[in-house]
Amino acid sequence: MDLFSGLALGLQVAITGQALLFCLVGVSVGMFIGVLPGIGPLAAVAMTLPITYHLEPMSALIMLAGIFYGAQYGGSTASILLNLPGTSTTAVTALDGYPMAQQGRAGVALFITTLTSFFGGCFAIVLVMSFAPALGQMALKFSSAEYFSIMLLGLVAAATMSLGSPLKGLLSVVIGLLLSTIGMDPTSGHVRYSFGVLELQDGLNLVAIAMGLFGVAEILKNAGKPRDLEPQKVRMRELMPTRQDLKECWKPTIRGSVVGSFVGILPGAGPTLAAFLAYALEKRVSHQPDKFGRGAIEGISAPEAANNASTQAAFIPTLALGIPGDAGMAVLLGAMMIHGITPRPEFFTTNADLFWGLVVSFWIGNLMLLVLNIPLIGFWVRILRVPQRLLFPAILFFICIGVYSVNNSAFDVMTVIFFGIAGYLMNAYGYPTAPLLMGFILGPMLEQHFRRALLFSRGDIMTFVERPISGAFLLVTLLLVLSLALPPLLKAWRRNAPLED
Amino acid sequence: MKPPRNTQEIAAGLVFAAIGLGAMLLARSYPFGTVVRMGPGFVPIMLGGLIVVLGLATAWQGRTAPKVALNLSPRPVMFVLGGILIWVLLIDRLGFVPATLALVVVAAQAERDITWFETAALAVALTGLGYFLFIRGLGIPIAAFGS
Repeated sequence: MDLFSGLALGLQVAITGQALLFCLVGVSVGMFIGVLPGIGPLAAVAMTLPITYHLEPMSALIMLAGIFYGAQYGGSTASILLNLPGTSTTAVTALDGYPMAQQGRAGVALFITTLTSFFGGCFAIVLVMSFAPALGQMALKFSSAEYFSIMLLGLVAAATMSLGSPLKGLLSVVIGLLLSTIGMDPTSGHVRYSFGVLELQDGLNLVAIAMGLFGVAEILKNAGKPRDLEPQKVRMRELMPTRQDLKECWKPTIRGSVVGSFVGILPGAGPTLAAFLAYALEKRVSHQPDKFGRGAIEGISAPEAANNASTQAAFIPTLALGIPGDAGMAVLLGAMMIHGITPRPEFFTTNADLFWGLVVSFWIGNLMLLVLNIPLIGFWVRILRVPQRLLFPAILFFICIGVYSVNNSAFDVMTVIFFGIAGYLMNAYGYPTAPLLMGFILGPMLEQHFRRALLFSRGDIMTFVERPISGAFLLVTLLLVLSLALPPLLKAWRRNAPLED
Repeated sequence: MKPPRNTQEIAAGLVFAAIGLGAMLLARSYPFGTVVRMGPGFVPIMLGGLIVVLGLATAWQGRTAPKVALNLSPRPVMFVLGGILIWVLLIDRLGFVPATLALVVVAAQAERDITWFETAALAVALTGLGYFLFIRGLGIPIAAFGS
């Protein structure tokens, strides 16, 4: 299907009263959650999941996707006004956004981040439209070896490119893989690690793990800490940037969009990394690098374009290969599976209406966010004043009912408690939790393709290297590992070498 | 000068190594199979082994890392997790309304500065909202009262 007939089909699907309504609900909830510090889009998905059960898959998908990119818009508000990122992906925005607010330019900063977010999002949607079906076409030729290798690349990328120790990231991924083996092995029917618990025979519930690691663990970290949330007032007329501002930010916006899209397409690398890379790049190419950190407009426009581009571009591997671009996409993928949609290469032909409807809803959603943001900015600033002591019990309630309603299972809510404390401890000890979720989601597919590839090759492990596409993915994985492992090893060698003389 | 040994990093790595070892020991009872026809025990044993290696490596790498304050606070852990636990225990026995009221009242204690009036108002408001939205509106099969 070519681009234009695809778009025409998408318009038919996405411009119905119901689709528009759920798009609006999705982006508003996303925006709301994004504005609030301490909870991210993952918690928002669990909270809205029960609502989606009664929807047809199209509306459910439009709404859930809207939450994700909506949260990217909202996150910058708290970063700029409070120096406190609304979502982790907008942490970099605070570096220059907060100084701008202190200089009385909060309105301009909010306006610019909205505009660059919109640009970054739209830039990446064009890529989704042009590349996702092509990638799907290519992936039709993938066999188990290719799937295994690209998933391995995604997991290693997720582990090593999260901020912090790459070794801890890897450990987190492998723990996730191990957790995914709990329950019945689909190949042999053998039940693994059930400890005699009936509920464990079906495996752990993805939504419950995500809510524990990202909802409850975040609340445990932030609850009980006194916090002074007094954002300054922002008036409409303070929003307008000067001509100089616009001149300074258009190039960083384009660069940020490119960086973000690239990172988004990589399986495993998410918007947080995209924003950091875009910021680092701006600092590198700037003529006045010392301007950064003191309210440089480049320092907010590039990362905001990047994280929005990344979130949209992450739909490419998610939809075309069924391999999530980051932890958020992983949860979205899980939600899609609950609705009986399994993204894979055939998705673009068998579910063309779903794909193009979703893409058109991205455009509509981004437009809605633009409108929601600029005239209503005062409203979102006021939301920051809702005291967290009222907010946290409410979020816990939505998490409980959301997780419970997936299977009507009290056991799943117990799982939330377990992963809440596990995530809290892992965060405290510097172990990233997003890779664990990636490992858990990809684990069953990874094991299945690994076993199948070796069955086809009669046990010859070289099959992963000899097949050119698979070999290329493994080479990239190897380079990634080496680039991280070599510098510390060399350093250790240099430190020890003189002693040996 | 040698930096002091970072016991907390070492302990964390060793805990993971122990988890990996435990996983390997449990998986010994599952058929291992061959490389061509892997049994259900093959992948878990490999993953367990990998966790042991990575756990030991993080412990080794972290042994000289500068110590970071853990910043653990027992109060929110107790009340937040306690609140969820009570909800789980009550939901199938006493029903949605008592479970949710109890959850909010307990979880709200995680915050020191919440007043009893705010707690009560929040509990009633959320229970009402949840009842109309989830049970009446979306038809989620939970009893409002009773099992």
